[in-house]
Amino acid sequence: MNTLLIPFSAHQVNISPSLHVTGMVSANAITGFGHALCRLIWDMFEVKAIDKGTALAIDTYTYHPGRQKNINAEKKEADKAVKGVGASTTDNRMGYLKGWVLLRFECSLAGLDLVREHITELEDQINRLRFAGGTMDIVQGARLFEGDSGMKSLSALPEHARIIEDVTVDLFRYADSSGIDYFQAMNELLMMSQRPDVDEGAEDQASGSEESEDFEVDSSEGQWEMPDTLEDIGVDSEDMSIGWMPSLFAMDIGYRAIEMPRARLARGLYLHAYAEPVIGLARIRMVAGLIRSPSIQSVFWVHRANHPYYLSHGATPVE
Amino acid sequence: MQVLSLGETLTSKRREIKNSAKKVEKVLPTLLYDGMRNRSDVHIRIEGKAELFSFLCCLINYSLKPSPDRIDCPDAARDVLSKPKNRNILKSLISTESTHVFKAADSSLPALMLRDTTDRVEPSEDHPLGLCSDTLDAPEVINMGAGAHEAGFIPLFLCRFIIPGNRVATISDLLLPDADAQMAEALRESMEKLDAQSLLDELIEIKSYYLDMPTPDEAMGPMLLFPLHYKAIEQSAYICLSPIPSATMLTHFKDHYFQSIEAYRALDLDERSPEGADIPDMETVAIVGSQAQNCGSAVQSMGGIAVAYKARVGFSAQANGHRAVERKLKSRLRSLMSVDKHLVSFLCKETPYRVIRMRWEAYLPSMLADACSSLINLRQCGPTVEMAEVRSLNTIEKNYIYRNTPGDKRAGRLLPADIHEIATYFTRKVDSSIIRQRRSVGLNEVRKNRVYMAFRGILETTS
Repeated sequence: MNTLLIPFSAHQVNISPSLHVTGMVSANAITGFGHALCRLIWDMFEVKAIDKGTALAIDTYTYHPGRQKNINAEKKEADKAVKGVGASTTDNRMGYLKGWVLLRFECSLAGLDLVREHITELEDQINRLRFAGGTMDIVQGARLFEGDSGMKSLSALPEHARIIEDVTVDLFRYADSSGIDYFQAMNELLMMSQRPDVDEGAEDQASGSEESEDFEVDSSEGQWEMPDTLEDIGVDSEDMSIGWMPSLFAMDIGYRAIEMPRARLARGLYLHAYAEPVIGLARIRMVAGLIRSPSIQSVFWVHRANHPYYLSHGATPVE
Repeated sequence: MQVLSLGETLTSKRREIKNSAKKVEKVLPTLLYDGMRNRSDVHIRIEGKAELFSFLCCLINYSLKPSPDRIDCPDAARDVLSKPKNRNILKSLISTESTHVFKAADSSLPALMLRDTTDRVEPSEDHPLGLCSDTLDAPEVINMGAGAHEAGFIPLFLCRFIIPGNRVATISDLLLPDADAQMAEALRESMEKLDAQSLLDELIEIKSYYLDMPTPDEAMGPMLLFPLHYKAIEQSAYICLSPIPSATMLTHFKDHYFQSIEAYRALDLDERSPEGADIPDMETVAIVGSQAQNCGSAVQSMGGIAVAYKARVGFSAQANGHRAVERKLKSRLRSLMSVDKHLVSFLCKETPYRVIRMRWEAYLPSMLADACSSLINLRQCGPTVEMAEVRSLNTIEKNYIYRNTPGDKRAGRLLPADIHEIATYFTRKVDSSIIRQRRSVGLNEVRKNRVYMAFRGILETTS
């Protein structure tokens, strides 16, 4: 496998991907960008690049709350006369992201040579792609890591970069072991992660025992197993939190079709289905902690279509 | 859940329902109003044909403005159903019965009948799925209606009541005899009494027609392409998806949010936890502007505002990397404490409400520890830079970092006097940053004291 490391800055990024989640781009934006990049390589060099997962590492992140955007109504002229031209509004959160996109891909050796030689031309074309609805600029040169399954390129990042990891499987484990539904499980896990423990051990957390995660090899890192009792979970969720950034958050991870796909007059000649958004659980963590952990698979997001679920997962791609 | 008979609700205290211009529109018994709108725990129990008949009259008369003197008056109901305009509204309502709110994206889009027809999938370790209406344990919410002129008739179809056998049903369910043959027969007799036999037949016909052919032929709204497998580029294998929210999810999120806040407000001041109500950070999102009533019953009941999870990712990169700290130590630079604009705005935040103030105090130690995280890190892990190489670090910071190194005579824990000195220094540092950045007089004494105490707490546990 090879990895392409792209430092970028993107503005006007849509960080309210569905009506249920705000504050972070959707997982489909990450995987979709990787897919578009593979298509770009295919278009430019006619090289068969197979997408093996895309990761997003964040350096700077800001967010303009509550910007309203007019959704242009599909109105006919006659309707405008009757109902007026005032279109309804929807709160649309826009953000600014600066960071790195890491694309893992596989291609033939000849194709790899082409990509290596023409990486400057590739950069120019990447500037034309869009990231989560926003405009994207490459800030430094893109770098190609050959024969790398992700570790080399992650080590090239600064250690304070924060990377988004998929932990939806923990949501399932928690809901399954406690016998509650996903909504309650999501709320409890988020509360545990967001609550600063002022009553007991708030200052313990302040001690920097977690700050040292950047520097020390932590054997428990990445081996977070879901225990049975609530008390154990409280302890573990503290261990996995990173510094003072509340580490868990809800993320839009894909769609669930509510019907069998049908032929409609949609985009292209593809089958069309109406679908509802699906919320997953993600975790943000330092690259410093990640590269010392045994597994880095869950930060590389891949598409996984399995009717009726069309989701993006951080996992080894299924072939 | 509060189960009441129809008689009890009819005799409850009457209540005036005002419109947005504070003008009295209707006068209805309170409990009946609550039971009709599905917005509270009140459920109405219906037994026998006579009760169903008077309840049906209540539901039909709900649309009248002003409401009649007796809400279950059969003559008024007969009058309503005899008008062709009202009959048309009823027919168009039953044709928009859906589980997903297509119009929530834009209230001027057409109302589509979108029904969930997929089977439930069990999540597993390999396919953990996620939170959607499939994995949400809540009663299904039906959305109905396409415009404000139909809003008065929505309770007629969607009001949930309890029929014999302790089952919950709506009039819309009873149209088809599968739900309960006896009650369906009773409904038919009631409609005959109201001279609306032909209307009932038409409604049943429309409902069964749309059940057979559930989704519309046109593709509308935003669309996206999703690759079906890893060879999607070569084989051009994509599916086109149109995201639309589920009425159940929207309603359940909002209900849960306000229930938690209500429960929190009901507590005494001592019992309240400092973090606020028992819900994660959520944010309200306006979805249809001022035209909520045009989107159907689900969005209308939410007032056009949805509640969304807010991802708190943290502002900027506070914790510095190892190399950056080393570079700072060797350079002739400023101190290692970083007081950025987010911390300043947090500290200067006006806190008028008690809940916000509690949250402010709860987050204060974490924000301050974030600011001096580099210093704490260096003290905990031991600096890799020799003390001789350190150029122009502040004396207090230098002592703090190098105090527990083996060569130091005063190795070990910080003395209380040291803690006081360092905490005072940190507080002064924060205060001067605020004065410089905000061009203001800095923190007031109360807050300064809080900041000082928080720093003390951090230092005492880290030394």
